Amino acid sequence: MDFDFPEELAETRKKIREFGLRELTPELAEKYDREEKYPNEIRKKAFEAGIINYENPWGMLMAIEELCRIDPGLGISATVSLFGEEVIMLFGTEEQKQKYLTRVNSGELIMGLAVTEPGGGSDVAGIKTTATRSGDKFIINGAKMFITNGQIADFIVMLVRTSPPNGKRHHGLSTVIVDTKAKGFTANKLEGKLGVRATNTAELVLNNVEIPVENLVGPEGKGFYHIMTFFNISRVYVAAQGLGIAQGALDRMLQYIKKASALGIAEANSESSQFILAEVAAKVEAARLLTYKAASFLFQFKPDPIITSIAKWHAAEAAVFAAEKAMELTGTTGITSDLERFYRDAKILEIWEGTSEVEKLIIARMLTKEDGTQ
Amino acid sequence: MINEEYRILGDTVKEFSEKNLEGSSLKIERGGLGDDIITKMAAQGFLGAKIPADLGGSGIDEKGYLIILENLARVSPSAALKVLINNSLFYPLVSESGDTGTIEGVAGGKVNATVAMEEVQEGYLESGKLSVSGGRLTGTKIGVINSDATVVVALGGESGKELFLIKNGISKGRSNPSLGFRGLTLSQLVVDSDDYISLGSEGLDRMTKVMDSLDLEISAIAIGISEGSLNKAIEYTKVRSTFEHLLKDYEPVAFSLAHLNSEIEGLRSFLFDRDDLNAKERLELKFLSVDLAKRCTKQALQSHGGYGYLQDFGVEKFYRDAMALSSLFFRRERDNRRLAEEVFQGKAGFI
Ligand SMILES: Cc1cc2nc3c(=O)[nH]c(=O)nc-3n(C[C@H](O)[C@H](O)[C@H](O)COP(=O)(O)OP(=O)(O)OC[C@H]3O[C@@H](n4cnc5c(N)ncnc54)[C@H](O)[C@@H]3O)c2cc1C
Repeated sequence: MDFDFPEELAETRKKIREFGLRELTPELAEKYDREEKYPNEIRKKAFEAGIINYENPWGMLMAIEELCRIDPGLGISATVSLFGEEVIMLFGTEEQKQKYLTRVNSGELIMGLAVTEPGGGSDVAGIKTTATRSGDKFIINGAKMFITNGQIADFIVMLVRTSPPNGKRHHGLSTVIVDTKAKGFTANKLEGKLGVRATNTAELVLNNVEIPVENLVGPEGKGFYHIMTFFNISRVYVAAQGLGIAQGALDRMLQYIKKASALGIAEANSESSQFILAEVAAKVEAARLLTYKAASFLFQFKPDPIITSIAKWHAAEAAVFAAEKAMELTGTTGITSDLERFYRDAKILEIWEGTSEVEKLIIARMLTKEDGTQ
Repeated sequence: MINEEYRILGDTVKEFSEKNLEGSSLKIERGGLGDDIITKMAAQGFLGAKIPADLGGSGIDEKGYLIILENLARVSPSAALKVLINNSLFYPLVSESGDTGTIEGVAGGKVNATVAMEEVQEGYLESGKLSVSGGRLTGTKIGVINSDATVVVALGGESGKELFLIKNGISKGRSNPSLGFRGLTLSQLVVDSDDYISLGSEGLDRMTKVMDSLDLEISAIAIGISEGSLNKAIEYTKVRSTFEHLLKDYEPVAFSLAHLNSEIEGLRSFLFDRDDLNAKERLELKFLSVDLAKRCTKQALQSHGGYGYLQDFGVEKFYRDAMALSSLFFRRERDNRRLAEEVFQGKAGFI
């Protein structure tokens, strides 16, 4: 077992970090957070610089981690324009891949993935949006909530109900591609988020939206399975967001200790401060190992849902913990610096793509299943 | 006051908060407390709650004052902090200034005052000194809460330890992204004043003492924040369903909210049922309450799922305010040392 990345990936990381430090400036981070605006220019530059390269999954993971370490809002915004593409990659037709994926991967198009509805997010099988077959079309009606890129996406992969549950709630669900310019599609930007305010979040309303049947992704009725498969991939990337944020908070704690110690403030480097630093460092390191372990399984095409959920849950918790401890250590210095943004941003990780509670349920249920207890 | 009067006071403040603050909650977070609310708070006597009646205040006792802070914080921690700034920071520092006009103005809501506390919050004198030259006091203070104020108490002078009451020439400098208490502004404060009074050279000590004496006030606000956020979570989980069950029916949801509720009740009774809390107990309350506020607000936000992350549901503000309260008023090293010294009856915890 070798814990070092090959030289080539170490170079990739260096390049990403240099890009991040150059482009994700403190001024821009502050501005996009304040204005709740999506930083499309930064996204485009990241593509141009080859930072977002889906053919290099480890590089992609590192891009998420390193950019979030510099600023979570900008880092996530710059790397999230392909959110949901694995559904098409794994279950879509060649035509769909050509038409959508090529252009998403080149940075030309932005996409989103819509599962959550006003009535619920954790309970995926409980969604109410319907797609009714009418000749060679589906007619979609319903609403989706909290959709990342909702207002800026060119198209969205959406989970819809195509037939009644017939006793099994997760049956009768399908994934479809919805063009955001379609008649009857409305996206209302959600404003006033606690954090990750540079990301675009919207509520989608679908009023008799027509899509061709060719937009069905994978077999009809298999949507629940598609989304669960997708989450087993995307949660690894969310773990990388957590790792980046946690490391970013740790970086700032270290900077504070150094600066305050240089000013002769002994308490900044007291034993109790050192203990807090060590506790955060340990959590960050554990998040790193778990994230890379989950990624390693995934990138070898043998994802392990237990490790993935453990990694996502732990890295999210590490990010929140690190941001909290960094705020506590730095007092008024922290509250008047970008650490306060880390504190606000980190909390989303315990909510999106499976809340921490949902991750724990998955971990426990899979463990007991494996054990034969269930 | 007797118990019945405290109960009536609590109900009155609760009613005031629900009527005047709950509905304006988003407006307060986005645009500040505003003149209208300040006028209403002044009319209730909250702004000068602890200031003596002959100086325009309400002259209320400590317990009554804590009841006001707690019940304002349940709905708007910013409103509670505004009351605390007037009564527990500004007034104690200027009470002997002889400037009764300013004190009356502050108590009556006509004068907006604040205290720049960076030195005592940080525990060191570094930047932002105010210096006197040619009859003018000039300089910058950082991280000042309620920086829209027109009257400020701040440290400065040659030693950096002299206390000043500054009455003109104050403007807001670079504003800070405000984590919490968005009803009040947080920013740098630029001073270029020719109307100021020196309140003595022992300013740093006095300010430190004032800060050290806030344990119960901070506890009351922290408990209010805990209650406000937890009540929202309890109500939400009674009506939101996932997997065809109400959230409140899930063990982890119900158990965690119930445990937090017991902690709140324990601390409320610690704070309100005794009239003879000693220094150690006061400090213990602050430790426990600030910690609880952080945990309660986090769980309350979490129980709301995605909605918790949006301003509209009024729960994320508590999450921000709990941490802001800790950042501004909980001095990790100093308060820990104070507590250790109380427990060990002497010097402890300094290596
Ligand atoms: C900024 C933002 C961006 C988002 N982006 C997207 C996106 O692009 N696409 C998308 O589809 N969704 C997106 N989401 C939605 C997100 O995935 C959901 O908010 C999340 O899954 C939780 O669903 P919910 O909000 O409906 O909470 P609920 O499901 O109502 O849950 C509320 C609370 O109850 C807990 N809970 C629920 N069931 C149980 C149980 N059985 N046992 C114990 N606890 C339980 C939850 O953990 C949570 O704490 C986004 C959300 C936000 C805030």
